[in-house]
Amino acid sequence: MQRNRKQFMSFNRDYLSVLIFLGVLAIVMIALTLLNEYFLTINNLLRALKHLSIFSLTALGLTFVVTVGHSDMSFHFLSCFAGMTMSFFIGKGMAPLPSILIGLLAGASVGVINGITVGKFKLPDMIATIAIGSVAWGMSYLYSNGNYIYENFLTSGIIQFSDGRLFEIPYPVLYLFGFYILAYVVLHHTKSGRAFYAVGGNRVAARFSGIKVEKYIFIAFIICAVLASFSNLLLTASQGNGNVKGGLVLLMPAWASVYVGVSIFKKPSVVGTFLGSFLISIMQNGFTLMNAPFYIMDLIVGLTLIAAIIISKTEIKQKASVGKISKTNEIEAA
Amino acid sequence: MVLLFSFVAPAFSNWSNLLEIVRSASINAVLVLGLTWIVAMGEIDVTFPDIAAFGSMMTAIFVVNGVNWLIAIFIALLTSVLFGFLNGILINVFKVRALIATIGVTTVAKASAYIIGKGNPIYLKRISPVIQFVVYGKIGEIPLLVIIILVLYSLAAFIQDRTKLGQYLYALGENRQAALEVGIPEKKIIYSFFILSALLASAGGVLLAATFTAGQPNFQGSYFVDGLTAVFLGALVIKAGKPNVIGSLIGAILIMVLGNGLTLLGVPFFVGIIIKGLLMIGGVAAIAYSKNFGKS
Repeated sequence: MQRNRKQFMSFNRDYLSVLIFLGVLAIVMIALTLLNEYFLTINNLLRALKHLSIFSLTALGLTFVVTVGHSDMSFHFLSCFAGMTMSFFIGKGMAPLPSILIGLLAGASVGVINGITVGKFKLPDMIATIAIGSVAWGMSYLYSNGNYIYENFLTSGIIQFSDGRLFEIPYPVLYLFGFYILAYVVLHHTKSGRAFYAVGGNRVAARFSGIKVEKYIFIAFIICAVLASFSNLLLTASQGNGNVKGGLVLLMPAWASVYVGVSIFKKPSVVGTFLGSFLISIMQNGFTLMNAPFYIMDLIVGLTLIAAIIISKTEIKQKASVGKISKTNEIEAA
Repeated sequence: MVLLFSFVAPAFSNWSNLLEIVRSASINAVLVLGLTWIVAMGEIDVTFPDIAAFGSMMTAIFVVNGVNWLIAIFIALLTSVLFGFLNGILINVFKVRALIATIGVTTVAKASAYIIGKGNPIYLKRISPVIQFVVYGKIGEIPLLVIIILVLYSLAAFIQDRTKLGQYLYALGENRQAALEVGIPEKKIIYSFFILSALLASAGGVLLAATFTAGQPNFQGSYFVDGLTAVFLGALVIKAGKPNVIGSLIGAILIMVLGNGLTLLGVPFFVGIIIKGLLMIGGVAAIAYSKNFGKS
């Protein structure tokens, strides 16, 4: 009886953070709708989703690295390298698809180096990835000495990669859902998905139960690198030029999305990351509609992350007083 | 390396060039002092470049509005300390990893720096003579700033090697669990070092504001990677793989020498980024193998 009750309580608490989050999201959406009549239109929501897809896909890749218990501080750097590689080949007159693939390959190869360094040689992850990332970033200057590349961008059809639409739905939104559904199935409904969590949870136990720990760390870093590169390729295509600093903006929103997700579900998860990036993106979209200056976007990212940290921990401490939490939460959201 | 550069690029060994290197290295050295100890403790702090920017903007906005320089600097340092304190709270009270906490705080600091100037740098018409003297002044032939840095670092080295605080610091870095069980006040130490780091970063920002005669919301440069490279190179040079203040000072100077030398040789600046990254990987790898530094 006692145990059942305990289970029920913990079940309740798990749902509580989700409910709190959905509450916050609802309040934000309602507030934005009231402040701006244009906000809740199909066109704007599609645009918000398109904007979301860029850093949400980066965050998805990072989710895998965080799931295996590591940190990647290189994905924004290496995404610049991937973006410049693609731009270079576009500029040389290559067709979009091969250029995109070469770009992804360039990003993935840096991911391989990350994976080997952290997984096999066991160097401290943060520092090693910062170092490898900065080498990759330096290499992205090689193609054009740091200048913008915009030759052939308008004529080669690369713009379609980001601006094309299928039945009125922008391609990036399709990529977004495609990758997220794939990741959801892999991470939450397959054996290897459980292995990722096992490696992150208890590495020794994972090793004893026959999981190849290094392999999963290696794969996680590659997934992170590929998805970050993919995001920056989208960004490059939508901006219509290759910029060595283009991908640097991906770092903070991706980390914030993953950790908002962690504070909702108490562990890194695909759904959590999506909800986290959705919350951040929808707020950024709302503020853009209100003509807020660009630096407000950073503030939103930072404050959301800090608020998520605070909310998730307060909740664990005051497990009994349910009413109290939602109240403080509403105050914070307001 | 100094000899090598003076050999291939004669302009390098020019006295004024050397002075310029030492002076810029000093500002970097202020930025990385706090970081050194945080890394030694086994944590990380990504806030220092943005807090430096925030400090420079705070100083600039008050000076432009007619506040005395020293008071403006005092306010800038005081407000920057709040960010360090916030880092401490998030890590201590809410038990979140230092990386996540500092990423959150640094974005807020960055945005605040932009908000102060509404997205633009704030240009300063004149620098107070006192600050001018601190940044550019000389006593005899040696820049005052260098003397200040030497004093600061000697003091830091004393704290690190001769006081209990320094020993606690390395104890936390070596074995957190054991350190907690012998009753080392972990929370107090985390608070004090994150606050110290913010204070020093902000002081570095003030110096940068005086150098550029402007408050900048975003210092165009690789302060973050440079700072970490300095710490890890330094750890490699002295004390067998433990981050330490004297090492960081040497690291900061080495990086300046490298950057300056390459520029004089006409090498594109991205080569510098690549070399620094490689040096950092080398440093980390060497430390990891000599000390089993990694947490695997």
